[in-house]
Amino acid sequence: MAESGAVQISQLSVEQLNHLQKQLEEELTFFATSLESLRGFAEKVTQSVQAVDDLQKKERGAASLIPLTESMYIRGELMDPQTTLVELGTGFYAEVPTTKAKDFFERKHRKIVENTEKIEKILSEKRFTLSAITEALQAKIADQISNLPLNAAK
Amino acid sequence: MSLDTLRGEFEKEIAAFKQLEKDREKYVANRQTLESQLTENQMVKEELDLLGDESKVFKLIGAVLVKVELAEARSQVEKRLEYIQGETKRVEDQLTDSTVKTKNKQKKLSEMQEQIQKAFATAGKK
Repeated sequence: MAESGAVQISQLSVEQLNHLQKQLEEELTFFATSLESLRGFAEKVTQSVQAVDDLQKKERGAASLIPLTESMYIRGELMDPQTTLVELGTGFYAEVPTTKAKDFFERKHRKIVENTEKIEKILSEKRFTLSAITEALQAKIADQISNLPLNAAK
Repeated sequence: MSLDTLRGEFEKEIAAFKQLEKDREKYVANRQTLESQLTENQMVKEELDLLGDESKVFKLIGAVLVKVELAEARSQVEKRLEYIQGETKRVEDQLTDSTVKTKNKQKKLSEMQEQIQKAFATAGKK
């Protein structure tokens, strides 16, 4: 593989190149999907940060609508704008002061952004390797065609 | 060995080889699931560690939020992490094992292919 550095791509057989190409394409799809879902998560976390910001501006007794389903709401009054319940993951929730909730979501957002950048880097590296392999493969095939006895006889 | 027996053997080996590849895919998928569980649990652990001792923590069980002591929550996540790491190790071993098996099978298959070709050649000469 490319990262081993010891093997020249041009020295691989057509079969090996084909195999590598397929493998890389699968990896690319995998990372592209991961990137997609990470972006989705980032969006959700941003919404939570926004919600915390809004909540901090509210006072006790502020009227609000509480969604029971996505299309049905009931009237509610804000009892405690200072405390929120946040989902930590794996079924755990913690009651934290609203300011801490904001820290929590911002931490989460930072982590997601870090991972997004990591995956973007991997993706561009893999794309580069894939194009090198595709090129080598085409060169190999062109070479084989020109070396066919039929052409050599000309 | 007659050509037909060879061919029968060869087909059997091919089937075994395909099964090996299927197993391998399964192991890879298992590892992926474990990896994502590990990441999620690590994040929960970090967050639990950041919480002050007086914090109220709940666990969602079915449709109910049950209050759990912070120390209890921490030890639960800790145990979960240990379990996941153990499982990851097990799947890694399975994967290494399956890679070796696949390689051996591949070798055997190409040997058999040669045998068949030879048998074909001799049969053709007769």
